Amino acid sequence: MTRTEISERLQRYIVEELLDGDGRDLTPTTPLLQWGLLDSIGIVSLLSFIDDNLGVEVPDDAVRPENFETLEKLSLMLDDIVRKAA
Amino acid sequence: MEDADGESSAPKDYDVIVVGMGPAGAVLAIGLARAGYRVLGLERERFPRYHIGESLTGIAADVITKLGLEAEVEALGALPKPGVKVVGTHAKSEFFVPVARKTWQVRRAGFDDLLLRTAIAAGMEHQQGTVRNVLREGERVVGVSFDDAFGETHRVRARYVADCSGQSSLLCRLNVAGPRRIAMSGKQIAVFSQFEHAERDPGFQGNATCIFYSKQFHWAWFIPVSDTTTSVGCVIPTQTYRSVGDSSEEVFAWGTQHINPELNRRLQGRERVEPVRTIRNFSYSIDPYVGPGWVCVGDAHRFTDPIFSFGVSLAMTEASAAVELIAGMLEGVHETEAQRAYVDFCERGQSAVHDLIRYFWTFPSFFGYLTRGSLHADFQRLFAGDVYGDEPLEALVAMRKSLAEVRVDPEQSSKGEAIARRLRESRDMLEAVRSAYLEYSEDGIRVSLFLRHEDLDALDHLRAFERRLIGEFGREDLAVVAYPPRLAQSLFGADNTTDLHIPGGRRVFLREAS
Repeated sequence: MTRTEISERLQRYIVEELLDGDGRDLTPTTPLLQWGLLDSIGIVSLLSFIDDNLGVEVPDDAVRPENFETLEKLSLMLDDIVRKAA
Repeated sequence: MEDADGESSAPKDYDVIVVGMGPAGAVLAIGLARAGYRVLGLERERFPRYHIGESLTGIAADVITKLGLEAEVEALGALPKPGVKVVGTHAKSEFFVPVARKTWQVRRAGFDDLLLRTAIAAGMEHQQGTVRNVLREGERVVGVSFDDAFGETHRVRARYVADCSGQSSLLCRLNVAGPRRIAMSGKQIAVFSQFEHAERDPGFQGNATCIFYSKQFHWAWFIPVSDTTTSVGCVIPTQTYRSVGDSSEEVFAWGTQHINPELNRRLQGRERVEPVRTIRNFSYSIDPYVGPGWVCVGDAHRFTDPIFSFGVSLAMTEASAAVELIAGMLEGVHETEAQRAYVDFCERGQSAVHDLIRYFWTFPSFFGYLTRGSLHADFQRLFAGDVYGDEPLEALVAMRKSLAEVRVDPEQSSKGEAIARRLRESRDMLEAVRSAYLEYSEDGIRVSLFLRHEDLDALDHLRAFERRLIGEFGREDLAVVAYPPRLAQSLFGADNTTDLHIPGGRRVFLREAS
């Protein structure tokens, strides 16, 4: 899976699950934490989406705010995990 | 008060006057008295007396061990503390940090009384009294005046005065120390009591401190203080306090039921055995807190959100450092240099605790993952109070990095979401508007309502609604603006409202243009 694909699927998930389908202001650099999108339930369900649908298991050490700040950073981090595993 | 030779009133000299006989004052007095200095310990209240702050960390146990009081503390019935469990709103955000080394949960009445008796046994002179003022010679503090239990005023002189008055912050109130800055989490209130037979975790974790939280700055402590008794306290913002009850009992009942369902379950049908007490819970810091002839120790100069029970431990550790400072000073070490070393030491510990707690409240959903990852040993040490090392622990460096790099304002966003929900519920109000949205940023929250018609009644209706919102959410950072069509037209042109967008902020649509 390419980084673009990862990013697109994440974007679709966030719009559908966390923004009630209203994704008009969401960009790769939208500050997800500042928007208050990732509370503890948000994080847990996002991580299980990533695990179930992208096949990437994010280790506890990578669950840090700076990796979840924007869609861009999140995709970069996942891409990095995928590359290291390959 | 009488002098040794039976004469009263003549000013009597001490090496050190310690104001306040809580853990900070007593540890300081024990250290100085054992070193042979003449110490006067002043305390307003008669001991034993009730006090909150029942949970200790490893560094408090270090001080207890150093003073040789381990057996006495255990004889009080203090419970060994296995760790800290934090329960949030989701099972996966729950975590447990075991203690890195032995420490206890204590009832403060007996614990503080033990420390006071130890100070007296070490040679400290104990006097019940309330300090009224400091004595000065030029800029230098050279003693205090105090009223004894019979209301008689005394003046006593000393080479050094230590303010260990806790949240009373005596030297700050007397304008000797710097002003008090209310910090971090704003204004909260703690309401607390004790329960018999509240349900604990099974096994060795049963005596752990449990912290339950939900929304930011809404949390509760659950601290076992004997085999059957558990101290329970609810901490909530003052704004919430006013809206959920008229009496402390009502607020306490609301907190135990609503802060977290698991807490509510553990207290179902259990008997509350203490009155409900209330204390303000404002994080503050005072600067400067040392000066010519005086020093502040513990809560007297800084108090941080007590969620992880660092207060007593920091106070006792600072008091040990203050023993060095004052003894050094009395032996001729340069005062400013000795004080600078003391301040550096205190700041290292206080800022580590401050950042740990700031990280917890800023990124609550990330905290559990960090404590479970490769840095888990660091967290055991941090929760034990190992915050005074020359080099900060790696976990602390990681948290500081996140705090510096990632900008968030979760408080503002959750408040914004709450207001948005309230507005969506008020469908009849939204009938009169063509489009409506709410924006929030770090600077505040703005609700913009674009009216359908030039309708004065609707405008009045909206103003009443605005007053209700402000009543509920406060006016400091909330603005509600209603635009009748002609005003909107002249300000923004035909339908263009985008100029209003707050840069970096988030916009929530309440009603689409129709």
